[in-house]
Parts: sequence; C-alpha cells; structure tokens
Amino acid sequence: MSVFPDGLFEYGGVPVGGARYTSPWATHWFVDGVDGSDANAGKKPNEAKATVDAAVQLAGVGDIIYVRPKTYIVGTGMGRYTEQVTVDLAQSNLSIIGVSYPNNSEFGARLAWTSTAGFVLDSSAPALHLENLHFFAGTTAIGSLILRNNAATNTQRNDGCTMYGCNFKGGTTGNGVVIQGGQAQRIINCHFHHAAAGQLTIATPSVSGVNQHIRNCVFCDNSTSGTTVAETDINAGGAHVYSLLIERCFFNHVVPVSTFYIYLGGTLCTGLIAGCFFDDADVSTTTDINLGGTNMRIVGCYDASNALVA
Amino acid sequence: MANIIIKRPDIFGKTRSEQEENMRKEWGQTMTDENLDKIKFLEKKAKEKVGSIKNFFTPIDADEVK
Repeated sequence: MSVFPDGLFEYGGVPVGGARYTSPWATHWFVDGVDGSDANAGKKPNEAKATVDAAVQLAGVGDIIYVRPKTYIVGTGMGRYTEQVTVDLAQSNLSIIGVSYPNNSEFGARLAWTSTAGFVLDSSAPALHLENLHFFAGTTAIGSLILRNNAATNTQRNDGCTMYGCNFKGGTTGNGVVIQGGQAQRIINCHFHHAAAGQLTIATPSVSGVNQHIRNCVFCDNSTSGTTVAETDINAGGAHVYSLLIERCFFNHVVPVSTFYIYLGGTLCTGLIAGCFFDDADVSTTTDINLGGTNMRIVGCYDASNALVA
Repeated sequence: MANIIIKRPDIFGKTRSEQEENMRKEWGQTMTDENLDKIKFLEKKAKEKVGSIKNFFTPIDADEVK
C-alpha cells in the first residue's frame, strides 16, 4: 500500500500516514488512565496516553484533550488521575474535557484528578477551557486550580479562561480555585466544596478582576472552624473588581462568624449579584457579604429566613 | 490500476457536535443530549450567518440557547 500524508486514504484500504484525528486547526489528544500508555501517540482513543501531563506536553495552541475516567472503586469513588500538571503560553486556548460513560453525563463530572503536591492544575495559559473535571486537592496539595497572572512573565495569562461542569474540592488545607485577577473568565455550572483556605478567589490585592462571570454554581461544606476572610466562598482579596456578575448561585452552608460568603473588599467594585440563595438566617451585606463599595448591586437574593438580602 | 485518493483531514470533527458524535462511538459522552442539540443549532446559525463550518462551541454557549 502507498503511504500518504496524514488524512489521505487509499480506496479500500485503512487510514495511512498516521493520525486519524488530526485537523488543520487543532489536534485532538486522548488520555485513558486505564488502557492507555504514555508510549502511545495519543491521537486515537485506542492509542491514548495514560496521563494528562503526557498529552499536555505534546499539545499546542488550540488543541483539545479528551480524558476518559478511571474505574469506579466501591467506597472510594471514581479512580483518580494523580498528577500535577502545568500548562503555559504554548498551550493557550487549550481545552481539557472529561468524558463520561454513555448516557450519564447529567450526573456530573466522572473524571477525578488530584496531585500529591502543589496545585493540581497550574495554568499560565490564556483561554484555557475546562469541562467535566473533578479536581480533588489531596491533603498535601495546595489547591485544585490556579490561573496565574501575577508577574511580568505571566501577565494576563488567565484572560478568557472558562470552566463548565467542574467540581473543585479544596481539601482540609487547600484552596478550591485561585484566579489571580485578569479578565473575562467564566465559571459556569461548577461545584465547590470543602476548601479550608477558600473556595474561589477571583482577584489578588494587587491585581484586579474585570468582566468575570460566575453562574449556576454551588458552594458548600466550607470550613466551619476558622474565622478568617480567606475562607470566604468568593473572595476578591480586597482588590477592586469591575463588571463582576454573580448569578443564580447557591451558598449551601452556614457562614461562620467573621467569615463571608462573598468578600470583595475594594471600594471601587462594580457589578451585580442576582438570584442567589444563602443558606443562613439573617444574612446581611454588613457581616456576611462585602460588596466593596456602593456600585456593586445585589438584587433578588434570599437567605434561609426567606428574607430578601439587602 | 488507478488508485482513488479520498482526502479526509477532519475525520474526528470540524465542529464540537461532530466531535461529540464521534466520541460517543468510541468512549462516551461529554455533554447532555439537550446541549448537543443546542450546539448543533448554534453551528447551523454560524454557518448561515458567516459561513463558518469549523468552530468549537461549548456547553457555555449552549446554555445561552433558550
């Protein structure tokens, strides 16, 4: 049989010339922690890599990585990918997508991902897109996910990052998600739980967030033992954040004294909190929600007393 | 004997819905059937309006379809 470049077939024969799944503008990579091997090329489901990092090392701008869940273990849950992965400018606009078994994607992320140290996923890649992933920060991990934007070498490296249908468990010492300010991130249909050092940080004291959108998210089981602002569900760290939109979120826990569901802190914040429910009685914008000035609005939000939060 | 060459550079899918349908043949699914329908709708509209035949809509975009 003649050998042709990628994508050329000889009539009546099998695909020749290598990658079956290449395309002109992106490469699709496949990761299978059960049946894959890092020695594989990673470009077909039946020649998948075994680790996410092996695929990331080969991925370029705009590529897509599909990751298959590991085997379910009774009493433990879904088997976990245990690896810390770093993505950088060379992987900007990368998508990492968890695959569910047929007909059960409605039940949420089936792919579990943890690490033994550092953040599970450490990103300096603009426009990173995450879907259907369950981040599980172990006891020795710092947190689930960090989107960096804090130094000359990675300025605005977290602009345009999006996450959809992901779960983030911070662990007894860790963070959920840390976004170091930046612009136009979207956090949609995500679930945050048990992050002792804070569930979702959207800015740092030195870097503002702009045009960030948090929608349909659930925050629950945060630490009830501490009293610091760092344990806030959504925390801007005292920075000014602009055009922030938080809508239809459920804060499913009682907030400890001196701790906030939402803490913005900066006095020039602008944006809207709409249609949220806070599962504690007598929630106020003094002790439980810090709006960061008078240009951050809150409308249509209720607390556990069915009282309108204002 | 002449060989017939068929060029198929985009077999896994030029769009998210094509990729999703191929993925379902191999491993499983990455979105609900409802979101898949919505993404097909978005791709159809993109093709009609600007002629785009290769794109990558996500469920974030699908959520905006009512």
